Amino acid sequence: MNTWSRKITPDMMDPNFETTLRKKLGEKGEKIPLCFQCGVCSGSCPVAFAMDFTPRQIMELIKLGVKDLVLNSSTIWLCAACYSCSVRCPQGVDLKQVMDTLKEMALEDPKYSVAEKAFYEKFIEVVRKNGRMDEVALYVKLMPKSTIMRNLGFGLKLYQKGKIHLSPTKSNSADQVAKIFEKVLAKEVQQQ
Amino acid sequence: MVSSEEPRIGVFICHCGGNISDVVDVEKVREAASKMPGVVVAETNRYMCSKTGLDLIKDSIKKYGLNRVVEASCTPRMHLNTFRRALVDTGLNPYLLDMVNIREHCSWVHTDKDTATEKAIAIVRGSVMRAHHLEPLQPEYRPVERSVMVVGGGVSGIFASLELANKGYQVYLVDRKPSIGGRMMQLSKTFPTLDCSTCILAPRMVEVGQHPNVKIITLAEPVKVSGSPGNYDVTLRIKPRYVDVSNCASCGDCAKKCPMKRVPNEHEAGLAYRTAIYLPFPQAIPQAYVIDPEHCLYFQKGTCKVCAKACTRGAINFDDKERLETIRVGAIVLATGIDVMDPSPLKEYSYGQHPDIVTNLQFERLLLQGMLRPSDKNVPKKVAFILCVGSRSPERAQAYCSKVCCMIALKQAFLLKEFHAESEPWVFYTDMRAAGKWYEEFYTRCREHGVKFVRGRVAEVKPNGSSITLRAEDTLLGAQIEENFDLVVLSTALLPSIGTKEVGQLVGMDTGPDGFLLEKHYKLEPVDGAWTGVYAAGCALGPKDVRESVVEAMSAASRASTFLGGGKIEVSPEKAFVIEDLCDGCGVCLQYCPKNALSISNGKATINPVSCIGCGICVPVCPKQAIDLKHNTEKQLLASIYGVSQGNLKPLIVAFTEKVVGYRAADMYGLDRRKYPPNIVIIEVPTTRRVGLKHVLHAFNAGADGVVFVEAEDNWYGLSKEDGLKQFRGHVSQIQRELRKFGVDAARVMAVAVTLPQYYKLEIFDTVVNRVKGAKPLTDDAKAKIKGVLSS
Repeated sequence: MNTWSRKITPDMMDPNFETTLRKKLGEKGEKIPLCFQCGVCSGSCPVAFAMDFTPRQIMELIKLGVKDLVLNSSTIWLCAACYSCSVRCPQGVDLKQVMDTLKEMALEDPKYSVAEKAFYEKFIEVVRKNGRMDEVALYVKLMPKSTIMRNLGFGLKLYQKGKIHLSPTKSNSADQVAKIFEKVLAKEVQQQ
Repeated sequence: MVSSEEPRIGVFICHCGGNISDVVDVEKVREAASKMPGVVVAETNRYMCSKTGLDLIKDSIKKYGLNRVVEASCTPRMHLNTFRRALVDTGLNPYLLDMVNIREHCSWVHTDKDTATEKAIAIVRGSVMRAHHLEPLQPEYRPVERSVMVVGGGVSGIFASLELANKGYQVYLVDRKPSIGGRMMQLSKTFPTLDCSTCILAPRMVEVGQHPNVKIITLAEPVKVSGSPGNYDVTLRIKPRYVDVSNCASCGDCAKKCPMKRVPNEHEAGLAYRTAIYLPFPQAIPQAYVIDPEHCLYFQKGTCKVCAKACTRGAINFDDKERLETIRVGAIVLATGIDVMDPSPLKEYSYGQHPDIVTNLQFERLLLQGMLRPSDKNVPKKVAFILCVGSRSPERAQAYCSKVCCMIALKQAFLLKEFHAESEPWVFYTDMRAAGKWYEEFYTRCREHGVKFVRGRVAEVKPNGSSITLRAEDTLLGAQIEENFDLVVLSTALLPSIGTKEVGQLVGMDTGPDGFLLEKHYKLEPVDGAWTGVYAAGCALGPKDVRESVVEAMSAASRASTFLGGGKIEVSPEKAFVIEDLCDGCGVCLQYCPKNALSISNGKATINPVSCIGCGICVPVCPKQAIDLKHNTEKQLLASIYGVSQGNLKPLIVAFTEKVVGYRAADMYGLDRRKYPPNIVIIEVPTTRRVGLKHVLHAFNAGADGVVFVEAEDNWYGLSKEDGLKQFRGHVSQIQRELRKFGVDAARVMAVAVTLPQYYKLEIFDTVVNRVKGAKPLTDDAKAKIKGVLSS
């Protein structure tokens, strides 16, 4: 999540940011400059409450070229891909697609290291390996070891209720899930 | 007779203060012109259109005894009449002037001085050679009908009618509804002054209803318009009223007895009921009842007629029939008004799913009915006004801003607060547009009165028991806002009223992408239609408020009376005519004439000069070459072709350009300072179908290397755009096929159709030049073949 001084200064600007994004989006990118900040996207968004910038604000930041605030925002990772914004946008901006592309851009550059991004990456890693979600594995990947003792009590409670397992849990169809990942990756390489 | 005299031509070339002379070497053009056959004198001037320039022309005419004038300067669309007047002042017929364009079509579109000068010389040469064959022509005058039909009886139509009637014109005020009054009669009060809408309009309705020069025709719509400017024949389809207007005392006895009591009341925007026989509203003009056959028991089931028994005056007539009536008028004013968009396709607003979600038009009626919630008739405490429902949404509904909704919402919020001081109006807006006299001040008043404003377009409206939940982003906070309301008002987009496009087509008025009528010139002819004598006013042209509608109504009335006031209309003498000695009466021309102006009498074709529009389509199709066109005769056209095709420009491409749209598009191309190669030389023709194979062959024979046809994309004299384009393309490909027989590469002939907004399509000129450069060479053999055919 961004912490910033609520002041945009010249050093935060990347004049090519919007152009780069538009290029990546292809035909859909042409709609980006049409955004007139009506707020229907953010009004429709089921997760806007948890975001540091609302989707509309992300659009404004894109147009101003404030690249770091956009790619460091929690917004792009929290997007639930429900498409409400894309469906309702009066100007036909496909915000869901914009969010996806921003995610790709943030992943390309290790400089962007917000917690939401790390969660996103580790989550995918775990699913790819186990074919399903494994809370303990995710915890180990995500959190520093020093936190284990602090959270032990809470972990125990979860264990007693059967919410987590100590032994690694793997899906029966883990190999098939892995194949899906391979296929998707191959497709991505192909597209590039 | 001037035409029989030896031509004495004066050529006048304009610098246009550098606009021309910065690129074209004007002195060189003058020198070349002075050596052209028949030229007695050639002059240049810094501004030919100035008094000194015009005096130079007039003095030269007198001094040298000129009988033809060639003017090379800006587009004739600008100053043709200025220069024609100079001829008239010296006693010459204005048609002995030929004006050519070396600014928009030369200096503004080229950069290389040498070739631009070469092209200017070619243009002037074409004009000089054409001038040899110019003939004096006299315009004809026809009387006009001193009457006007106003279509649409809303505030615009009423004011246009009153204005015209007070000037002494006979006015036919036509409305398809049973009463005049229009949308304004449905409104509560009008912003920003808060005048009661009915109170200010009803007296004008009475005035127009009683005016001796106005005939109101209700339940009527125009279905056909024929004739010409000043003498239009409008056919109306008049629906039966089933009530004799002159006999009805509007006592209401009929309605009391009518068993059909649950018909949605249009005037109340569906928020109340009426009977099947009804008075549209208390102030209706004409003040008479009407039967709605779609809901009348008698018309639906065949029995009832209770109303007829109740009417003591016998005013009800079930045998009334629909009829057609044709009325001759001099001018037509379209004031067809607006409709309110149905918001139900935009699902997120849940319109129709809760009785307390209403449109802003329905809210007007609620204000007049006592301002209670439709569902439980309680006082609504929290009321949300949602702006931009369907407006400013190119991807979802209408692209345009409906313009008045901001002010309507402000007014409604204000009136609500006035009605119920404890109520809480919230206005959700995208951008507050309060531009207008006293509008910003009204916005301030609303804030003073405690109207709440949230900047954000509402994302969701959800019925929630008896209340309604709204969700939006307060974009100024960057936070979501969720709130419950008792009543939700949707400020829906305003649409052109149903049938606007159709009625526009009857009178040659197109509609824009927004569906509203297109004015002739957006800024300078804002209420004129494309046809002379056709005007439009009010919301037919776009959403607007009462004040603006009245202004436009008065403008349209003024334009109509300016047109009709002279009592006569000048008819251009540029018409086709038959050379009787050559005509064998085969009748081929008849099938080509778009205006049915041709007929056969006594074994010869004859042309009705009233119907003929001078398009010249009949000229090249005549197998006997027995038809010609005044001011664009075969001799004149061929002289232009030979004139421009000589000289040193290689390759040289003749652009036969349709005179209304095509020529102006080329003007706009120049105005925009876009560039194309100087190898293209434009010859103005009434339509490209005036040009046949013969002319193209002559062009090649004269030295041209290619031909391009520039046509108007949507000016097909009554044909649909598709059919028109098909004919155009067919005409050009026919010429291409014929040329192949001579061994001429089809790539040397191209076609382009343009509209004024798409004038940039002329960038195809680059392609044209490249294609001609890359075409198979014009062999001597082909040239000899062409020459052979032309001389036989």
